[in-house]
Formats: sequence, structure tokens, C-alpha cells
Amino acid sequence: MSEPSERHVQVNGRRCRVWEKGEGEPLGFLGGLRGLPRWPRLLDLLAERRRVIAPSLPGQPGATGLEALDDLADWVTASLDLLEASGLDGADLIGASLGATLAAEVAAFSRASVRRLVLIAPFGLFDEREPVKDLWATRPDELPALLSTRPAELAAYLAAPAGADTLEWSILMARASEAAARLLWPLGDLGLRKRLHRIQAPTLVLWGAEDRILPPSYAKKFASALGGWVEVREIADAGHLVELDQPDAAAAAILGFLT
Amino acid sequence: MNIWPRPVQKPHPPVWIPGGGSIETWRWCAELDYVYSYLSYFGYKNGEATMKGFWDEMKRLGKDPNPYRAGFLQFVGVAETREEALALYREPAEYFYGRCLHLDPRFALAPGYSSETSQRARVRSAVADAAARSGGGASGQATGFEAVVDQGYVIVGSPDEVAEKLRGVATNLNVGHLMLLLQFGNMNRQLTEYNTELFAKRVLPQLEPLFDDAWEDHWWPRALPAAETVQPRELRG
Repeated sequence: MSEPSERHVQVNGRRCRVWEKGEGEPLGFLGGLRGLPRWPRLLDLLAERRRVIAPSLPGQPGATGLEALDDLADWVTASLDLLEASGLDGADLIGASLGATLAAEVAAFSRASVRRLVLIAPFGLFDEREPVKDLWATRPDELPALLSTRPAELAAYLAAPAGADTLEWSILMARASEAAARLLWPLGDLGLRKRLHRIQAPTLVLWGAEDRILPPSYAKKFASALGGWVEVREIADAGHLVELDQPDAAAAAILGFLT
Repeated sequence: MNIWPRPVQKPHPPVWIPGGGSIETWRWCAELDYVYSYLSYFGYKNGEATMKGFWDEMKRLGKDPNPYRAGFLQFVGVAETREEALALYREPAEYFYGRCLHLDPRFALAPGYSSETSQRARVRSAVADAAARSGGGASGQATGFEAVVDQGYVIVGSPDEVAEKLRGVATNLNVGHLMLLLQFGNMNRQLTEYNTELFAKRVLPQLEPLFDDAWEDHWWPRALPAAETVQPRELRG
């Protein structure tokens, strides 16, 4: 697996890392609760067919500036700035978890910004009959098994890279967690239900069949409220972090949808 | 007409801020001239690093080392003799340290509770603590009475012993205000009164003169001059 190239763009005057790999039409990727601590296999598979561009949202690994984000309007503005600066304006866009929430918000607020949309287990809706798991009232040692069907691999994915300052790495992970809390705390219901009809971009909704954070039934709730053409795919033996648990199945579903 | 009461002190009464070691709180207290009161349940030995950090920061900010800028919380158990104190305060101390400090790990480190600067300082001091202790983990708090006394969570002894120890604590940490917990754990009323009375009569007089030759306490509330006070009117029958 070769490394992606790295550049930086400015959002709110702060640096945000942009990873990129592959050739062809641009395909954006917004990472989830901890952003992209590493270049994952899913993006490698996608980069065989497309020019994959993965910018870091403020507060995620590779980017600072989360202090400037107080409310949803700030997050949507920052996401639009980030996508435009990264060369993704009007491109196909994939979002995972928190990143999928913002991808959906961007597509709802600014239809022309997104061509086709892939939402991997987005936060944003809440059904009290099947409540969303409160991530910030969960014991840290319980989280890996709640997020992934492969908790050991998840731990390795989130661990400090060889040679990195482990203290600074723990700060970086805490920063990503704070950024996620600033957007989603406590349960991620930002009123997206009232805007989903505005999303006209053809959308693939991907969900892990074993998602223990957001019940897989939420996929249908999204699908029925979205305004454009929608395809729903459930990925077997995958938890909330579909892109880590089943990268091959996820890549096949995404490339099938976009081709 | 403004109905909100305003303080008679100008600009306001002295303000004491409780803290747990955040660097931003030290800076805030320095900027506004508030007392920083370190509320640790783990005694003067564990408090040393934090208070040193506080005073280093005051020095960096150009503040004088007036000990009355600081407060420190300490558990104390006094009795006629050390043996009696050890017998009387074992159960309350073990009750407190064994049962009263449960913090659900789900809520211990909520994102956004502490700044990155404070997180760095905390991790560094935890790493240093772990390195200093032989075999003990950074989070391994004592719960047995011998360890609780040995590590200074609770100061127990005769009045003279406690006074000597507290003089050392105040001098070493440079704190002019001691906030003492004389009731802790399951201590009953009788024992609490005994502890408090012995402290007030036989320990406090030995501590009061400390620092007063060199420093003035600008942060202690002062009574108004009698001429400015108002006596409540007699209730009409």
C-alpha cells in the first residue's frame, strides 16, 4: 500500500491536511469520528479507479481550528470552504459517520456542491424507539467493540504511528473527539430531517449490519426522507465503521454505484 | 431604579476560586487577583507538584509570592495522642477513600473539559508520578489507612504533631489559606466536634502567626466599619 501525497489548505485561516491518491475524476472522502489517523485500505481500493481526495475537517488529525466552530452553520461553512479549497467543489463525495453527516448537510444547504453522494452510517436522525448510542456517555474501554466488528484492528488503526510522540498523539485523538462532540453531542440530531428533502444528488446509503451506534434501520429512515434517487446497501459483518470492517465490500458497493 | 443588590466592597469581596490543577485557572486567578484554592483529596505530598506549578506560573506572570494568593485542602484528624488518633480516624478515612470517590469512567474525561495545555501537563505529571512510584500505576490511589496516612492524604496525630506537620505543609507549598476537612467519611457528630474543637483550641493557635510578619492577607473578608452597618429594626408585635 503506497502512501498518499500530502498538501495543506486553509480553513478559517488554519491549516487542514489534504491526502490524495490515484488518477481520474476527483472523489472526495470526509472521515468519521477520529478523522483519518492513517490512510485506510478502502481509500487505496477506491484510488485504483479514481483520484481520491481526503481533506481533514477542523480538529481531525492533520487539521486544527476546531475552536472556531460553534454551531452547525460554522461547520457547514468550514466544510464548504474545505471542499472548495481541496478541489472537490461539485465532485462525488463520500462521508463516513460524522463526515457523512456533514456531507449530507453540505448537499442540503448547497445542492451544486455535490454531484453524487455516498453516506456511510451518518448521524443526524434520532428515533426514540431505537435510540442512537450516546458515544460520550460510554466507557472508553467499551468503545472499540461498539464501533467495530474488528476491535483489535481498530485499536491498531487508532494507535500512534511508529516514531510518533505518544503524548502528542493522545492529544490529537482527544482533539478529534472534542471536534466530534462539538458537532454531534449528545446524540447527533441536528435537525437534518427537515433538510433531507433538499438533497437531490443521487445517494448511496451504506450501513453496517452490525452497527451498534446507529441501528441499521436508520438507513431506511434516511432513504425515505432524501429528495433524490437513493440506493441502500447493508454490508454484512460490519459495524459502525464499515470502511474499516469491510473495506473490500464497501469499495465494491461504492464503485458500483459511481460507475 | 435598579433593584439588583451590589457589593459594598469596592470593587467586590475577595474571590476564591476552586481548582483542580488547570493552568488556565492559575492565569485567570493571577489576572483578576483571585485566590487559587487547590481542592485535592490526596494531601500535601501529591499537591506539591501542582502548587509548584502554580507558583512557577505566578513568578512567570510577575506576581509576588504572597502565600495568601493560594489555598489548599487537607484532611486532618486530631486526638490527644497519636495512638488515639490512629484508632479514631481509621474507619472514617477508609470509608472516604474506599467508597466516596467513585467516578464513573464514562464521565471522567468528557471531551472539552480541559484544554490541550492542561491535558499535556496532566499526562506529563502522571507519567512522572508513575515513573517515581515503584510498581504502582499512575491511577493507583491508596484506600488502606496506613497508605492513606503514609501518603499524606490525611494528617493524623496529637495537636502538636498536627501543628508541626501543617506548618511544614503551609511553608513548603507556600499556602496562606488551609481549607481543612475535619469531617470526612462516616465520621459522626461527636467525633467531628471532638476533632474540630481540639483543632481550634490546640492546633490553630500554633499556626496563626505563620506568614503574618512578611505578608498581608488581601483576600480575607473584612467587616464593615460599625458606622456603615445597619441594625435590623425591631419586629412590631
